[in-house]
Amino acid sequence: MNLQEFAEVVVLAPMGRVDHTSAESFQSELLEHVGQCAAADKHIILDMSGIDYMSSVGLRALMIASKESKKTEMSIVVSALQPDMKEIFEISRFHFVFKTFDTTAEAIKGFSDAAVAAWSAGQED
Amino acid sequence: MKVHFWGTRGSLPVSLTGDGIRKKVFQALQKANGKQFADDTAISDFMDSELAFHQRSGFGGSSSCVEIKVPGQDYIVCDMGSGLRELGQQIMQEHGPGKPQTYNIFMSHPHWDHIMGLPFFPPAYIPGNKLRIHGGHDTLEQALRKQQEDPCFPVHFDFLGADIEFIKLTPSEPFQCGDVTVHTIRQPHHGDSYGYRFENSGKAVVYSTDAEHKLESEEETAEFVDFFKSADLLIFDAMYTMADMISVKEDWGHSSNIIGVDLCHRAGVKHYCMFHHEPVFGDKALSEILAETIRYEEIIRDGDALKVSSAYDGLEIVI
Repeated sequence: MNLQEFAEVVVLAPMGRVDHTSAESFQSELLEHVGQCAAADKHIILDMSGIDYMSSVGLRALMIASKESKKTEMSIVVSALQPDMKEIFEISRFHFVFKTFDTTAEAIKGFSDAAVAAWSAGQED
Repeated sequence: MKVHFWGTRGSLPVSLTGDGIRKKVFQALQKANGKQFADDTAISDFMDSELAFHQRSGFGGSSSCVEIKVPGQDYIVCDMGSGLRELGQQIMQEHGPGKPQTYNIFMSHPHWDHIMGLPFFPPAYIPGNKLRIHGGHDTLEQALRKQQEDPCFPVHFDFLGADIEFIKLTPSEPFQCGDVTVHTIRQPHHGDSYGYRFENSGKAVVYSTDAEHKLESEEETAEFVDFFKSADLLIFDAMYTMADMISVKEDWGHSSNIIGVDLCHRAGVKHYCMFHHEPVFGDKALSEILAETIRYEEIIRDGDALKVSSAYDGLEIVI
């Protein structure tokens, strides 16, 4: 799971397929990041551009992460869903669970000027 | 084998309202738009080809009751929800009161929506008939007696004239019901429920309702994958959407449409039939959920195609 930080925002980018063979490691890694971000007063953008598909057991991991985040002030939003994943989010009604954005650039605009500036600087590099 | 669905609704029977019927008639007339029909066949053809299922028909509203028909065998019925009433009506028309029959009932659990049909099942009142009620709970007889006690119901259980026997089943111990082998599994639900796998002549039908597959433990999930293995038909509790099931409706005891697909793929099931429909969903919503589930299966598929359907009262599936 690739990680980049932009001021108070952490962009996490998981890769591949999440099904019963990979969901456990996906969940433990995701929850570790959620715990760390909550402790550091940071928010998470889940950049899903690298996820080909996710079955129900992967969606469950996302729901657990969402529930954990709600115990604190942090937020988790989702960006860059591939077309199949966008459909899976709608079929599972997960688009009601997470705020979703077409791109990570759009998602970051919902955070501080410092985060947007850091993101923009990162894009210029 | 044939499987006949007499009741497919979860939790509470529902009925289409007058407004709901009016909507269907309106949509049919709108679609016909002054069309002339040569005869009744032309009308039927028009309905089947031009009107969607939720416009020309519907899912019905009786609670859980499914008949497993095996040639040459006594009746096999899963659960005694309100759908049992209509089965009883048909049996009375077919046999009348003079031909004693044996009814093998397999109970998922004694919650109200799964037992409420018994007082309205005419064969239970006829001496000579046999009701063999199978299940994993010790409380089945108590539950059935209680629902017919004052002040809830005027006709007491002891007034039922049929010979009624209770048979306790144990998971992992196959049970022989005539030529049908029945396997039992304990399922996660408030107070537990039990699923059944019926095998005959190389075919297998699994009835698995009122089970909340939380996917918390791979060991528990794998047990169900094994129980469903290569089934020709899986009747599965697909009551909720995934997000509802694991958030606001967590611990309500039911599963989601897409968990059913994932379990079927892992188990190599041939036909996945969604069952125990949420009572708040109308015919259009249930049709949309079916279309979405078929699409999910296409997206997630990594092998042979899985047939996906949604049970409705009156549906008969030939295995």
